[in-house]
Amino acid sequence: MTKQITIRQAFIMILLLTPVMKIDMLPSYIAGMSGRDGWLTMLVPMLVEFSVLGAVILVNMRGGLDTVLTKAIGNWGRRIVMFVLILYFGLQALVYSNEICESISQIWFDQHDWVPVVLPFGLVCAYVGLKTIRGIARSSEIYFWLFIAALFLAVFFNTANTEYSNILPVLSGNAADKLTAGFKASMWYGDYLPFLLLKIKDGDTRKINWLWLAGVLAAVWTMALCVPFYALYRGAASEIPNALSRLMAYVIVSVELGKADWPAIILWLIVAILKVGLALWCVRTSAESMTKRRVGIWVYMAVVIVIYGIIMFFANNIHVGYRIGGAFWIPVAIIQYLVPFFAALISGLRCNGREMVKE
Amino acid sequence: MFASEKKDNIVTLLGNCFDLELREFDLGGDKLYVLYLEGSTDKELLSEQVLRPIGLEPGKIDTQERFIEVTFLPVKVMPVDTAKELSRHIALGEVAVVAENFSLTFSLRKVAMRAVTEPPTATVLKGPREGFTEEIRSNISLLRRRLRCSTLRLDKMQAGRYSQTDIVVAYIDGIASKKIVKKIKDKISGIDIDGIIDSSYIGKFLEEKTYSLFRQVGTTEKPDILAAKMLEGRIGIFVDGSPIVLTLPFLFVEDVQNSNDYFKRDVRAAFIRIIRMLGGIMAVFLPAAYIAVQEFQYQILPIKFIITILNTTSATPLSPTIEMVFVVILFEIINETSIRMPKYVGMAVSLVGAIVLGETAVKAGILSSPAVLITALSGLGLYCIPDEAGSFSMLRILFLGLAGIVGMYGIVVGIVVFVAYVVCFNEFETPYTAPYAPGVPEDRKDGIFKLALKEMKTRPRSIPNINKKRMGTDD
Amino acid sequence: MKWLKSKYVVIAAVLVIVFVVTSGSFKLTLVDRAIIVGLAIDEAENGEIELSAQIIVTIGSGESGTTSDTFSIVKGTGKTVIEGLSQILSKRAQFPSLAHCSAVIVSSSFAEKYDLKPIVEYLLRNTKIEENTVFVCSEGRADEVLSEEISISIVSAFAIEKIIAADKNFQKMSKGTLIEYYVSRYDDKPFYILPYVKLEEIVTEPGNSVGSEISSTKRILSMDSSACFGKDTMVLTLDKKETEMINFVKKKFSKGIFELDKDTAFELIEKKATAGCEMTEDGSFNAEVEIVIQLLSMKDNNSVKKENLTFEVTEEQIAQLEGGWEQRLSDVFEKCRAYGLDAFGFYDSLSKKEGDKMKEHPDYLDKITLKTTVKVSLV
Repeated sequence: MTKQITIRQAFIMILLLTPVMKIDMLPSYIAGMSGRDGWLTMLVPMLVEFSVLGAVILVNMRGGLDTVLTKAIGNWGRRIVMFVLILYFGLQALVYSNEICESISQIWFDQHDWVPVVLPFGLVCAYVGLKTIRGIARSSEIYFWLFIAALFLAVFFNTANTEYSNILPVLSGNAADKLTAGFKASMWYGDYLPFLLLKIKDGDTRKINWLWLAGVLAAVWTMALCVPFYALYRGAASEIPNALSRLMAYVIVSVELGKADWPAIILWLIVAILKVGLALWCVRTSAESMTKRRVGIWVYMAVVIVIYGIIMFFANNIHVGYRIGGAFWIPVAIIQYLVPFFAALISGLRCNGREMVKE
Repeated sequence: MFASEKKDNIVTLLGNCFDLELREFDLGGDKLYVLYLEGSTDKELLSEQVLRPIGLEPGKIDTQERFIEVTFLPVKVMPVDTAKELSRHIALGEVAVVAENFSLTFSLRKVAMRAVTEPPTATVLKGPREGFTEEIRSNISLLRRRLRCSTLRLDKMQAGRYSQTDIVVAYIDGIASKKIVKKIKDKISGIDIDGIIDSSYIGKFLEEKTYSLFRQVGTTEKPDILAAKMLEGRIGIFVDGSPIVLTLPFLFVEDVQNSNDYFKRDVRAAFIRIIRMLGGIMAVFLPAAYIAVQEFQYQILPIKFIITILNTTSATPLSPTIEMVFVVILFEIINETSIRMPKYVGMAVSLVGAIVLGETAVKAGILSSPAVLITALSGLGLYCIPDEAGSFSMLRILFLGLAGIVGMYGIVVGIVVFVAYVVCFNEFETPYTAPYAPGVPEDRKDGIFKLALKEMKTRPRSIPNINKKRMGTDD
Repeated sequence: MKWLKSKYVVIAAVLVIVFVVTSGSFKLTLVDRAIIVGLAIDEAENGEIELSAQIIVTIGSGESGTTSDTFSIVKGTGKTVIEGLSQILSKRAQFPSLAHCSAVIVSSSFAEKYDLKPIVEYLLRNTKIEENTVFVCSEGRADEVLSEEISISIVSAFAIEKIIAADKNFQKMSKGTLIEYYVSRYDDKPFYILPYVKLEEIVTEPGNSVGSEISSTKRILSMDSSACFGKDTMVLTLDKKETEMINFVKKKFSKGIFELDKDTAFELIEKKATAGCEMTEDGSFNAEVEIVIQLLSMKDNNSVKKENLTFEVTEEQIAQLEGGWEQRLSDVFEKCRAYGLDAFGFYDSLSKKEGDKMKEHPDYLDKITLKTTVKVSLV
């Protein structure tokens, strides 16, 4: 019950939480690999991930990851997979938190204040992670329209001002390298994996194909922000962090009202906290599935302390986050694709075809 | 037990209190006693309907049926055997009759109560002005005037070991969810306390999150509002001695709504609701935002604002955070003083408050005028949603503290925590932040925006109810 | 879980105390900051950077409504911008803040000597300066453009901003902002343009309100020129007409054609191309196309100051194509056709000139470097 959300909430979560970590530091990181064609580099993994969405939908229809694994490979098999997911989501939370804290520190404060940024951030993300998925989903619903309005303003105003010819020619140079470079940033993808751990409410499963539309819209939104970024900053894109705040600085609604960048930055931060909170929720849920509930909470708290301890004392700038993200891209990519496909496969083989497996 | 012994026991149990009245009748050798409390009984009616007929009766009255025959009682009688029970009923304000072969009680209560007037906390420009009073029966009669259906259910309960307070759970059978009614009744039955003084006591027992800033039980002082809520599927809880009726389940959006909205143009009502929301947001966030942009994120402010703030704050001795906290607390003190002070000195203290804060402190350079202005605006915004004024006031101090520590970042963190906390309220199977989280599109017709009454064809889906159809043929 | 809840309260309380201790929240308020609205960069006498910051100074009082705003020019010198700002900090006892800086002005003498990229990079990365801050070059000293006595509506720094906002031509050529300068340094372009401001005169007017003895000084600025930067430093200035012309030609070439619209301000007098090619020792060859365009301005007949103004629109076409050098030559033809030029004797001149070498080294013909030079003159 506590892991159930409605199809509407799932739709909103995909639309809201998919672009959020792709429109901050990632565009400049990718620009370092692909230059002006960074937007294509970012798009390719998003398109490939639709296959993961399909696997996630299948697993969800068949009872959720927990049920499928227990029935197909037994309790110990499930525990091993959950342990892997704890590591995966924990690493993701670490990299995201590092990036967000760096962003906050650059934009919001004069000096590079680190401890006063990380401590409250860690606390609030840990708190959000302790809530039920229902709480996270409802929070997404509350922020949804505001965030979409901010993104719409960003796209609308930048479309009017940007010379899109700056991104031409497309794929000049080593096209194959550029198209595959996005997988080295796998840490910033994997947006559908949390849906393995939750359940779409019974009765809403008929509308589960709406999630495809959500995925497409999320990809469109992300590109609608990344393309102007590359068109505006051209060859210097790799030197420009905080893509969204830069783009919103061009959204001058009126001379009196000024720019729309601060409301967008605030909304972005709120949604980014939800994203990290969701990753931590996945850590907790995996831990509870791996052990008993009470023990799972302790595991969760230990993981949170380790993550934010590392960020506070060791990973105190974005480059460390990039290095971690780059160093672990292979295992992360493997988990992102392997776990959903494996679960979908075994649910097809061991469970009863297309029938829903009741919990 | 003989009647006289029983009577003596009753008098002893009631401590021989001065307001206990006793009338003794000798009817053919058999004693008949009538005991009642002087202040709680309609003596005229008692005399006319009971004492006089008994006095004039030539024969014996040796059975309950005979007693009923002889008297012209307009109320139900209840046979009660023991002296203890009889004394308890007398303490409740009822009349006890003790005879050789029977004893019974009935109620001819008449207590001093105030007239039905417009409640001070729910004034309207147009619309009904009746308000509940402290007398439960009067309140129920006001409700019955609004809901004249036979399916109106009024389940009476009692709570309080010493107060024996009457509580009535009111709902419309066929609309309210039986599960929720049962849950409420179970909770009330489980209350074990010495006395219930006000309905808020019951409210606190019904809430699940005791220390939450936000209330989880609705209240109303007006029968029209209560009737409207009951028609949506809510349950009303009357408590004797309190003019405030509780309603459950409760949604946060109810605080944004006002009965005035239903009596004026819908477009205007929608606009006003948005203004209320903005007023509430302004009340909570304006002081914190002011501090944040002054101390941390000054780059948000346009240059002309900065010059204005610099002009007015450069000479003040306090830091912006301390100054703002000081002014906010001063405002709270003035607020509390204005509620408590006697009417006769009210004007003088108001003048002192206005002059001291508005003029002298600013001129002396102790406070800056933007701080006073911000606090005043925030204070005005608090009363856009008066039922949550207390909660918002606490919240704004909290956000002020967060802003003073880490600026706008602290406000954002506070917002995330606050929203995550509030959206998880789920009492009586009702999400607190519905119809916005979870989204219930049909209920948004009467949420922050308001559509025409004709559009509201179904009952809200956010709260549990049985019959969804409001307009058209009842199924 | 009640005991756990109390534990959370303790942890939260401890952390709140930690925040208060570590956050530095009580260190800086708005009055502790020097709000810089204009920044001028010059060369000091000792060769160091001299920063002149136009700072808001307000005379605040407890009463509202009776204030006066003035500005103060504070100078700081140092080997780097950081040192200059530190000197400003020590002079004002306020932390310099560039978040509201509306213009950064660099003197032309400074720009001709030093690369501006490190300065711009520092400002963008390490201060809160907005990336759309106006960035201009000034004739003479940059600090003369700033004003000390003018009220906010006609402060020099604001004036520059308004002039740039009003003049659409500059916006087309170069937006004249810090970020545009910074980004254009990463583009593969041979030059970039900044607006060029001249201080025409300083006019002192007597006090014009009754009883007022204070005179006001007005700086008359003009900005109808551009400063043209080469790889690192400023190389020349262009007047308004030249700027317009370059903007026009650049826009036409960026579309790959050179045709004139009926509404254009210029008339095409002559357009021709010549080709040269040269084979190097290793067997590759360089092809050069020179396109000469002569335009007549339809607006007026003022002749341009510089004749045959040349700028390079350079393309490097590295063709790793199969099909041999004939294929690559046809690519060159296509490119010239794209500029609206007729075929020219490129192939003929090549084979006449280097025919033997081409036969001798067929294996080395895997690279053609095409260099297109556009010479534009206004008559």
